[in-house]
Amino acid sequence: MIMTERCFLYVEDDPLSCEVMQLMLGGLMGIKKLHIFRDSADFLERMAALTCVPDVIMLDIQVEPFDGFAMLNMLKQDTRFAHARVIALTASVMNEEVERLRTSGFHGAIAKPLSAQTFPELMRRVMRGDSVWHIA
Amino acid sequence: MLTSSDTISMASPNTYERLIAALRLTVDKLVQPPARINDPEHIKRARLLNSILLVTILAGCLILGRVFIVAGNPWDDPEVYAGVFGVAITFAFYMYHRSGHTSRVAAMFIGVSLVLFTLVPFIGAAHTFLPYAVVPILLTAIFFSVRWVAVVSVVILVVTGVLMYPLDNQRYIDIWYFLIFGSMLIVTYIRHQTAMEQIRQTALTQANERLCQSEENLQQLNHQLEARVTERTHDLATKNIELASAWEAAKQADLVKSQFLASMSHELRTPLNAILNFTEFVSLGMLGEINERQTDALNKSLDSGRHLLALINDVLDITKIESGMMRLFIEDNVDVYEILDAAESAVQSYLQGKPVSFITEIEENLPAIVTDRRRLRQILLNLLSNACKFTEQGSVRLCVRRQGDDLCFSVIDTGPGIAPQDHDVIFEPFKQTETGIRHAGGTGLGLPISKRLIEANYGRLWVESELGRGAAFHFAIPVRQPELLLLVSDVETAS
Repeated sequence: MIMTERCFLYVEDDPLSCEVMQLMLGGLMGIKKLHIFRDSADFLERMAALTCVPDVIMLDIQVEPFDGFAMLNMLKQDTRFAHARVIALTASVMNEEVERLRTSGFHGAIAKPLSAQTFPELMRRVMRGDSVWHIA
Repeated sequence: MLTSSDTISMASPNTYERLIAALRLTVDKLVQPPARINDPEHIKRARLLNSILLVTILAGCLILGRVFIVAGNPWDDPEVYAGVFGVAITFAFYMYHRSGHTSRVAAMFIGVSLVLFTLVPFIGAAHTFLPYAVVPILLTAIFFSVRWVAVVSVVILVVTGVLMYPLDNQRYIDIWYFLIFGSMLIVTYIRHQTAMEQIRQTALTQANERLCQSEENLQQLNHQLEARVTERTHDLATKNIELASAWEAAKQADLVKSQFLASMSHELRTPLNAILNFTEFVSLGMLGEINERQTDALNKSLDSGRHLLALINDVLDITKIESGMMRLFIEDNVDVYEILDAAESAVQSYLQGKPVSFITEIEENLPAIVTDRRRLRQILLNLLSNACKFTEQGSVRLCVRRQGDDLCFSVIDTGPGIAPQDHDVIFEPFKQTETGIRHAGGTGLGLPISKRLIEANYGRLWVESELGRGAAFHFAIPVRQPELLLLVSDVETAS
């Protein structure tokens, strides 16, 4: 499947970050299917209701009511999303948190602010199945 | 038969010893004071009085016995009456003494002996008896104080002196002199003994007092010690509680600091995500055509935004370091070449087409190391970006070699160099040299952060430079530091 046909999900409560992601994926990378949740309420139900099963799920960590770690755990328990790559998008780059991200089973993490220079390449690597830890 | 002769020869001393023992037992029983006397001093005096009374009775009986045997008609002699009376009254005293009134019996005995020995010689005109007048003086000396001895002596001397005066007999006078001399000797001796006894008593009392005092002191010290131990135990317990709460507070403070830093990081980076990316999208023409001036302006805005991000990162880093919150993410088997590749590709953008050549001298077969890969890359990029920033022509060299247990990294430039007096300053936070300030662009935190990160990695960072002769920054980190190995995280992930 070509990359532009892939299905993306982004859970993020900051509206500007959502807009940035839309431009980054849609405008810069030509990706057509991006779903955005502005909160994590009824997370799995809303996931199931999506028109496509996401290939890449990007989770902000500080989201209400379930944080990124809680959402990751829900995803891990649901076989429907077993193939999805789950990436943490975080503005916290404290080592403690990064360590927690690494040990809790994310397929990678990308630090905010995102960069138009590096993000497309990182996404390509994510979809190749690489673990991507871009936390500089 | 040898045995029987042995038995016989053994028997006689046994019988003798038994006889002596029996005699001793009898005497002991006779002199024994009544059982109800408890005071040891009284017991001694009572035993002595009993012994004297018994000896007197025995002596009286012997003398009387001789008189009765030798003399034809003993009852002609008044001294015999006196003797019989004396023995009888002494026996009576002995019996009376069973009541335990030692002092009273002694006084009565002295009184009787005084009367007998001072009057009888004159009644019977037997001056040979007069020396016996010493006996009541001696008895007084034994049982009473020196004052009473003096009184008894004076009484005897006066009475005998008065009685013999009309007799005008030289023998009486000689004996009287003897009495004077004798009584004086006795008084002197007793006085001396009493004084000695007093001295001994005083010394004993003082020693006793000292003993009591030291015992008291000891007890007091003991009490003090006990009190101190109790106090200390209490203090210690209090300190323990304080320590526990301080520890709790410190942990709490650490948590608060940690949370503050995390939220600062989050809160500062989130708006930058919008600022940097919207600016970039516009400058890339994604939101419509823009002209060259606009592109230029947007790129300047982008540069400033990225600089702000670098500042935020550095300030957060130095804050974490200074507050002891910096934790390295240590991994085993970190590939140095991978990090060097990333650093090399970054250098090209740092040089921005300046006429500066980038030279690498990297040893082959460098071992994989135990370190925080992100931080190692950060350190290298910091040193390289500094070198590129300050070097306008010449070269920037990156050398990596193994040296014993360490990996040594050197970044050598041909820039303006650093004066020796500034070699320490450059590693202090928020302090930049004149040259550093002129070049701006930096946060002034890169070197302090690098130095502390390297030290946290059990390595060291140092500089060799002179003004106008370029600068060489070297750092050495251990390949496999045991302490760092302990920090290796469970999850191994590729960057």
